[in-house]
Amino acid sequence: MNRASDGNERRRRFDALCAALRPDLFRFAFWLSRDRAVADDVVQETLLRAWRAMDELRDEKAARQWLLTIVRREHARLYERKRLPTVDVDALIEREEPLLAAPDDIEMQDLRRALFQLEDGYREPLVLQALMGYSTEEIARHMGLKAGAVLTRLFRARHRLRQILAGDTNAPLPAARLEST
Amino acid sequence: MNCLDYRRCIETEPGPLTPEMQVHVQGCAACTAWSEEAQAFEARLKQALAVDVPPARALPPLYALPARRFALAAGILAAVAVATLAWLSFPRDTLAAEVVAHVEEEPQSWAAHTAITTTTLDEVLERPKVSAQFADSVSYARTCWFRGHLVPHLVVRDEHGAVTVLILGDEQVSGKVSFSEHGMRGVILPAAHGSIAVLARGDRQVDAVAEKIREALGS
Repeated sequence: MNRASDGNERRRRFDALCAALRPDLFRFAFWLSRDRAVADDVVQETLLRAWRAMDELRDEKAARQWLLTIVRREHARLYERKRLPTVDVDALIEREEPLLAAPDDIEMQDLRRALFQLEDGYREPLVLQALMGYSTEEIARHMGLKAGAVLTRLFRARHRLRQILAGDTNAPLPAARLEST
Repeated sequence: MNCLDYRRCIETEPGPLTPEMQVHVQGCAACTAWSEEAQAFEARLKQALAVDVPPARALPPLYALPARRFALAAGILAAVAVATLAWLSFPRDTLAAEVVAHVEEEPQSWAAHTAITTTTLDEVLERPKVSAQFADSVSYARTCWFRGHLVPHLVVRDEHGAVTVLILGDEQVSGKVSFSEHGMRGVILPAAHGSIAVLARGDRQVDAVAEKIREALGS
C-alpha cells in the first residue's frame, strides 16, 4: 500500500470514529464545562490532538475511553490557558437554556438545572457512570482516584441531586452513608 | 445485607443486582418500592445528561464526498457556470458560503495583532519553507476542521489590513470564485494542492494579496 492510500485509510478510520463518538465527546465536554461554546472548543482540540496521535490508538474498541481522556485533559488545559472567569451558576443556566430546555417536560428541565448546580467533582463521575456506562474502576482510572473515593462521590452526587430537586440547596453534603431506614 | 447496605449499593452502582442484593430485595417490600423509584430516576438521569448535540462546527458532513474533478471536456464550462452562479446567487451550500461561515465562527481570529512565532506557524502549516515566507505577517494560525478535513487557518496582515486564509487541500475549484457575504469579500483560487480561500472584512479587494499568498504557498 502506498503512502497516499495509507493516508486515506487513516483518514477514513478517523472520520468514522469522529462520526460515531462526537456526541459522547460533546456531552462529556458540555457537562464538564457547562458551556456549549467551551465544549465545542474542547471537542475541536480533542479531535485535532487525536488525529495527530492516531497511531497511538492500537485498539479502536478503546477509542472512546482514549478520546474522553483527551477531552478531560483539553478541558483542564483550556481553563489553565485562558483562566476563564468563574461564572455564577444561574448565569450559566440562563446562557445554556436552549440546550437544557426539554419542551413539555418540566421535570427534565429541573433535573438538568440540578445537574448544573452539582459540584464539578461529583458531576464528572456521575456523567461517566450514568451516561457513558463506565464502571467504578474505569472512573477511578480516568479521574486518578481510588475506587472508594469514586463510590463516595457517586453516592453524594445522587444524594445532592435529590436535595437540589427537593429545593434543599443549602443542606450540607451527606457523609457517604445513609441514615438508617 | 440490610436495607441500608442495599440502598447504598444502588445509589453508588445502579447496575445489575448481585445475588446478595436480589435475596434482600425479594424479601423487602420497602426496598422493592424504593428500587423502582431509583430505576426510574436513573433512566431520567441518563435522559437528562444526553443533551442534544449541536452540529459539528464547520465539520459536517463527515462523509461528504470530496469534490471531484470535472471531466476535461466539461471543465471550462462548468467552472464558468459555478463561478457565475456563486457570484450572482451565492447559495448557502457552496464552498464559499462554508468558508464565510467558518470565519464567522472564529471572530477572535481577527483580533490578534501581534505576529505569531514561526514555531506555531510550522506546526500549522507543516511546511517550514512556506512558513518562512510568512514570517512576521501572520497574527493567527490554527488547524481547523473544515468539511471533514484538517485545514490551516491563518490571518495574514499587510499594509492594508488583515486577510484570512484557509488552505483547502481537499477542495478543488476549477477557477477563481469570488464572493461577498456577511460583510466579507473574498476569493477561492485553485492551488497546487486543492485550493485556497482568501477573504477580508469590508470592501477590500483581495485578488492581489490572494495571488501573492498562492504563489508563496506554491513554493
